[in-house]
Amino acid sequence: MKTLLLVTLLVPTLTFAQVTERTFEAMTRTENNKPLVGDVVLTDLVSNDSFDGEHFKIVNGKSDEAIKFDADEALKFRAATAYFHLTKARNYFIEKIKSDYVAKLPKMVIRIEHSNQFSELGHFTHDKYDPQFNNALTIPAGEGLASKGVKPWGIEIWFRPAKRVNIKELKVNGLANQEFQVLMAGFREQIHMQSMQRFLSNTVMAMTSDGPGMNPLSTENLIRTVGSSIVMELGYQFMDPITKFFSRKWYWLDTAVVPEIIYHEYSHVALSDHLVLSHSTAIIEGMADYFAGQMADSPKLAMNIKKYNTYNGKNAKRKQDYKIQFEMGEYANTDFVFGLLWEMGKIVGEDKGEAFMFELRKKLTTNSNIRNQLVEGILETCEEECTTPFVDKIRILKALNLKGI
Amino acid sequence: MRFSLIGLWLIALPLFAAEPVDFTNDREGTSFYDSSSDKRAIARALKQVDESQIRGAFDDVERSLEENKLCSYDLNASLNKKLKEINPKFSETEGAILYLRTQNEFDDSVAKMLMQANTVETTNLRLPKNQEELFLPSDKKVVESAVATIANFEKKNTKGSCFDDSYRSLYGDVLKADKSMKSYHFEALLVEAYQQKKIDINVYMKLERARVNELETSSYSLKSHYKKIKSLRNQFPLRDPEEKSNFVTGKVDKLKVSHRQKLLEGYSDIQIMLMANVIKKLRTRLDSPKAEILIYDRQNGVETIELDPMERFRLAIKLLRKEMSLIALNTYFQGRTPDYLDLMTAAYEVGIIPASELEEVAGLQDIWNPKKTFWEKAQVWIRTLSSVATIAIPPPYGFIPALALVVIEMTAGKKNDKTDDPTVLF
Repeated sequence: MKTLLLVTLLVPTLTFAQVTERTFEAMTRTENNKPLVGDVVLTDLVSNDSFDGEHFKIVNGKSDEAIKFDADEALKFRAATAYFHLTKARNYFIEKIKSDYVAKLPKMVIRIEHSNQFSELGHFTHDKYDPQFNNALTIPAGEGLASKGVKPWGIEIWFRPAKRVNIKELKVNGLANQEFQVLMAGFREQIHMQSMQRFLSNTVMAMTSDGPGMNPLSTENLIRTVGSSIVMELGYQFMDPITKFFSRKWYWLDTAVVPEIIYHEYSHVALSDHLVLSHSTAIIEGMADYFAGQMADSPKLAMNIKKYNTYNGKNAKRKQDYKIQFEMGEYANTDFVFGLLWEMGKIVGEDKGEAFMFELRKKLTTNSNIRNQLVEGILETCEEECTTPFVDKIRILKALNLKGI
Repeated sequence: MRFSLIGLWLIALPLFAAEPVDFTNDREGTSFYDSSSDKRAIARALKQVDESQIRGAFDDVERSLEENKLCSYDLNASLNKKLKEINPKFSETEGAILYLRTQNEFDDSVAKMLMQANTVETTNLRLPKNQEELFLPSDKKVVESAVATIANFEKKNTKGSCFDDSYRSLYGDVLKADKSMKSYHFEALLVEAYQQKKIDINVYMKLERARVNELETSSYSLKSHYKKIKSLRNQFPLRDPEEKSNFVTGKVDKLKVSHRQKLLEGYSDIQIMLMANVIKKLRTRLDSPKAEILIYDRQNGVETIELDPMERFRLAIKLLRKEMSLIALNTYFQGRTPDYLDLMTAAYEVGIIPASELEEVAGLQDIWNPKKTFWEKAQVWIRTLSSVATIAIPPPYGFIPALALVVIEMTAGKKNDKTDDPTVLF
């Protein structure tokens, strides 16, 4: 009996004794948010030979086993980076945001180099279905399908493998490109108008002046006047092929080694008590961006990885007017909501911004839209959280009005 | 019986006793008179008498004031007398007034009236006047009538009215004879009255100083100010009498007065209340969590359209603009349209908007009247010059002004006008 008691006491003690710390090489950021490969200490590990921690288990692809410390260097680097930044994100939500929900979350499985699509019933789709690359995804928990041998699973984060893709194959929302095209169209119009004005003014001058003047129909004058228009027109018509020729042709994104993407995905998890992980919308992406930006301490979320990606580069300080298209479709992932929330955070006070946004999630659902529920939610949250609600609400409304909402 | 009557009278006496006059500043923060020259004037006054002596002298004077006989000239005279009893060489009345303002003994409006009275009494005149520069009205009957009116001034003035009211009344009476009369005519008439010995040199100088300082241009007096504030406070008791605002003491653009001075000098108490009511409604609308439009057929409601938050906000602004225009049609305003900052100051005056909200609500004006940045102002010039340059500069450099024009069109052309957006109501 005594022995049994001793063993009973020793078992949990031994379990806790296994929680260890280890140093690995991982991707971090400098103070200026530049990428830096350096040594980091992974905490709360419950295994001595794999990336299996108290809160996260990093696995490779569909595997259920944690990645071993003696795995190949590239995989180990990704696993260590993901583990380190996920721990940082979890601590942020528990210690700074005081989230009980995050504190009570069960251990999460994190899949890196995982290319299968998500299936609500079967967890993963079959390997034969369109593999996914250059992306990251947070999936909701599932009950599994016992009849098919699919076990239940919890909330998971999947980091897709990086793959070089030709830029032509990508659907890019191209907001910046659209703006450039508008600028070029205006420039072209102005140059043609200028040529016309010059021709007319030369003609009028020649007709009204008695002295010897320039013949408006002379070859020299025609070349000078029409020349600019011809050059402009050629440039305009061949702008697309020229741009394509000089711009980069390949795209890839190794999401497991980008801290901001890791924070972004973990933010989805932390907000999932209200913003259910069913599909991607402008608001849930913007909310996750906001917290990722706060954790990274930078409004230039993802600007650091701009050289790898093809979308606009999420920048909270980018001035952008509201467009109805931002509510849905491919525009939903642009940085409008991120910029808007960042600005709102400044209005309610830098020290209160994060708590404010965390409370804001309670007023939203995954299907909320920007113009209605988000703005209403911000105003209601301000009523409850702002120091001077009426004044702050006016500030918020003025800022939103300037944003064109 | 006699004793009981006396007893009753004694009991009733305090009920009939006039309330003590109290000018204490209960709304304004840092004074409008806060320049370095104002501070130097205070320092000069404090060299002649100390702080407690100035405050003590004013408290004594204030205690002796009667509401129906309030007069800035008399108040200054009493204050000067008290301060000269302390220091016979005291000469810095303006500094003393400014010091009393810093101590919130009164507000900027009272300070302004006291300083104006002091200026009127101390202005140096260039005498004798050059006869060639004096222009009497051409009609001799007008001159005779005006001189006779001026001759009666002293009689009227001694009836207990304040000098500023008497002077304005005189000026009005003289103007009745010829409405086209100008200040320089009045100058000549004063000299004429003096030369005809209808007024003595002291009265002449007093009237001439008032003319030089354009006393006739204002109709505001200490008595009317006190009455106005008292009426407002009786009808709208302040929720926080300690509350002070620096916004209302800010300078009005292109005028030499503060927002509150402009309000109190320019509007009656009833007008102020009506103006405040517009802001009260605005505040309610801005704070409202819900607004709906109901559509009816001939009998029943058939549709309810709920406005989204930004539509509610813009509706509130549009209704404000409408009510600002409508207020001019109110008989109390006689076609005068108060500007938005007047409304804000009125709302603060009666306590509808607290000081903490004042600046932000006042800033709503930027929505319909946005301030132009340096770049926006510069764009007008760049656009003009570029338009000329597109013709004047020959190819291949003609693209430079063309590009400048395109960039300006791209940046300046952005307006958040939602009227063409089919997805929003307001």
